Amino acid sequence: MILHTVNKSPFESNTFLECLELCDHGSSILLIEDGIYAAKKNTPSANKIESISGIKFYALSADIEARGLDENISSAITVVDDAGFVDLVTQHQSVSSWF
Amino acid sequence: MADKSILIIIRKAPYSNSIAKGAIELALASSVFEQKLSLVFTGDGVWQLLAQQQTETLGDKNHGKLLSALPLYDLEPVFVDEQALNQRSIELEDLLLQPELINSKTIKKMMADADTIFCF
Amino acid sequence: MSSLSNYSTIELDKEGFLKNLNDWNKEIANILATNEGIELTEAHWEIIHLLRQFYQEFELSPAMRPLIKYVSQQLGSDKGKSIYLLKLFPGSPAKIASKIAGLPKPDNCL
Repeated sequence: MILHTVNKSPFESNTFLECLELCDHGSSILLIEDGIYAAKKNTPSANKIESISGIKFYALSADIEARGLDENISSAITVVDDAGFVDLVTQHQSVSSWF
Repeated sequence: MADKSILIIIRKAPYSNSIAKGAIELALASSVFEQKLSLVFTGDGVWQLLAQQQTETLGDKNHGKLLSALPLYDLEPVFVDEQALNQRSIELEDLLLQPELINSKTIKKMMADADTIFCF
Repeated sequence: MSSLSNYSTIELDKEGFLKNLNDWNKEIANILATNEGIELTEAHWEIIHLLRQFYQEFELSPAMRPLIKYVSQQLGSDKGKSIYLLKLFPGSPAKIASKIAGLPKPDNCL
C-alpha cells in the first residue's frame, strides 16, 4: 500500500489526475500545500474524489486552514494534522510524492 | 546496503527546469551502487525520450544524449506508459532507447513492488 | 599549479580538473598527467581519446563501470577490464583519466 502526496492545485496542473491514474485500490492520497484545493467542495476534483471507492483521501489541516478552506472541504476527505501525516507515513509501505 | 528496489517515475518534460536532468542523474548515481532500479516514463516525461533533440541553439546540454548513456549504466530497458505516448501522438520509432511499452496497470504493480519510489 | 605556469590563463578547480573544456590540448594533457605522476604512452592516449569521444556522445563524464563497458565496446574486451585501466591510471581510473582528458569531474564519482 502506497501513500501518495500531491502538492499542486488541480486548477494549475495535471498532477492530481496523473496521481489518480496510477493510484491503486487500497492506496491513499494525502493532499498537501496547494494540493488541498482538490478537496474544495463542488469542484470537478472533489466530485471525482467523492465518486471513487477503494482509495482513501486525506488533507493536511494546517494547509487547509491557512488557505481559508476549513468550512469548504469535501466530506469524502479525512483531515489530518502533522501527527496524522506521520501516522499515515508509518502505516504505508512506501511514499510517492507527486509535485 | 540491503537489496532494495528503487522505482523512478519520470513525468516532467526536459529543459524548462532541472527536474528531468536531476531524475536521470539520480538514476546514474544509484546504478553505481548496483541497486535494483527501474525507470518509468509517464505523462510529460515521455517528451524526454524524443530522439531528435538538438540543443545547440538553446545552449543547454542535450538531454537525449544523457538518456543515451543509460544502457552503459546497465539501466535498460526503460519503461514507457503507452497511454502517455498515445495522448501525445508519439510513435515508438520516434523514441530513443527502444523502450518497453507498459500500461497503467503494470505501473501500479511496479509501484506496489518497489521498496522506494521517486516521483519526478 | 606551478607546472601550468606557462598557461597562466588556464583555470583548474580545486581537484585539478580543467574549468573550461576548450582549454584542453595534448600539451595540457601531458602536464595534467605529470601532475598525476603518469607518463602518457600510446595506450594512455587511446583511452584519453575514447573518453573525449564518450563526452561528445553523452555530454557526461563516465563512472568506472560504464567506462569499462564503453572501452569494451569500442576497443575490445581485452581492454575493457578494470585491471587494464587501473594499470594505466592507478587509483581511480575514471576520475584520473577524465581529468587528463579535460572532462569535468564525474558527477557520480562518489
